[in-house]
Amino acid sequence: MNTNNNNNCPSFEELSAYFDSELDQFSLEYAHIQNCDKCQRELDAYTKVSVMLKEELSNSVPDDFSAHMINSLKRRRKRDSSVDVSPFGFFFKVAALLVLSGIIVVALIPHKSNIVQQQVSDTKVAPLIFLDKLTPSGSYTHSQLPPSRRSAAGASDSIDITNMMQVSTGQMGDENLYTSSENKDSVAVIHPKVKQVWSVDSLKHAEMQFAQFAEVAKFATNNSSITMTLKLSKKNLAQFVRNCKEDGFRLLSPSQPQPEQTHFAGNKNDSVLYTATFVQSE
Amino acid sequence: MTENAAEYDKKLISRLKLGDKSSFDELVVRYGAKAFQISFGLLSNRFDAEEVVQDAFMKVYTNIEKFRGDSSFTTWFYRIVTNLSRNKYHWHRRRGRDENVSISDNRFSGDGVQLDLEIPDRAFEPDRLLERIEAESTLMDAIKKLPEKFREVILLRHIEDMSYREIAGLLECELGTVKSRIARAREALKFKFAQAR
Repeated sequence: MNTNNNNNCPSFEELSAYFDSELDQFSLEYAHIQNCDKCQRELDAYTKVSVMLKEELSNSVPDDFSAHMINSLKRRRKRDSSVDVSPFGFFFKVAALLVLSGIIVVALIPHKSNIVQQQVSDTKVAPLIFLDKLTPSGSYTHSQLPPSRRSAAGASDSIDITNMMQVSTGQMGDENLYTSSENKDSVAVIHPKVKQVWSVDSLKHAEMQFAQFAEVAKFATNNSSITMTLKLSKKNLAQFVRNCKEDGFRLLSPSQPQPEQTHFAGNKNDSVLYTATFVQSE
Repeated sequence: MTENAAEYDKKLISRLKLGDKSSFDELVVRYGAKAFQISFGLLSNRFDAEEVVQDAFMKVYTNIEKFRGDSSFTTWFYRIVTNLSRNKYHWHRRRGRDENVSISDNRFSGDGVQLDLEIPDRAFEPDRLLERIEAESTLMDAIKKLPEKFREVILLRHIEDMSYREIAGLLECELGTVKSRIARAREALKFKFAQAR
């Protein structure tokens, strides 16, 4: 140790920054501190304070703090049953469950002659979906839907999602069986396969938005578009569409899920294979 | 915070977003104790600190979807802890728990060593007994007497080993301000520590 000790010692701010490894290593102060006894004594004092502080606060934590906190939080979540991961979180949960556990969605059908069984591909465990091919294209209220379609949708009544979300879906899939109406009172019929095209101002922004889906979705990306495929429930598809709208994405396929609608037929938990392509707007 | 820890946090967050509650518990195990230390350091009250940590984790739980990962989880989480601690501190002040304590910056002299705040003596009030015991530590007493803004930076620096830049981001203030506050807080604590010996 150099015994250099002069009046050119840096300020306590510089010394403190040195202590925290935040001082420029090439500064004059840095060189001085390394060779100054007085500064080193100051640093020793800082070290003692630091050790004491950590020790004191560490000792303040009860031994069983983590376990106690986990239990308290569990009780609190239970007590406040409205507290759950947000609807979008629910989306993840449902989507993940569908992907990971491969829940098979089988709709009851009254007349086998009127249906075709379609296996949704592109998933590890493909669910079985029944489609009513005989239902003509058009817009329907739920009561106007053919009984077989209502039954195939897996619910006896439509689902009012007015307070749940602003959008509903009425995707036709490849076969264009149905078209949704912009009438808010109509019921959207959600096909088990939905494809949409969105226009976005920034693909990079969209990419960031969808990074969180990495574990549940498949992506195909090029310079001008991002295509995302994932499985989710009808309810969460509607939620997803709403979020896209809120993020400023513009739907380029108006015959597909309609943000204006507030009802959709069938079971909200029915699985939908959703493919969305996001293209850069000009 | 190491890169590995940050990466692991990201995985936990992803799992939590998928509804995996065990990952939430894991976050509690990883950060609960440190959050408690920070809050306890800010509030000098064990029960308040515990409540703050619980509230902070509930906020994490309910708002996890809003967390985009632009900053690290720890920055986000400790910002919640700090803000909740601030709220509680000011809530108590407004309601007179520490009505005799003025903790304005004016009390803190430019050299950072003259801390002449007066703590009301309530040693014989049963509900204050534990707090008094907790405050018996000279160092803790000194921390308690630090201005709020100084306490925040020194605790984040020492408990979580945050860099000045991280602290500046968390508290939304200038880097130089962080540097200055840490130095002044450290000087004050050093002074108090030396006095006690």
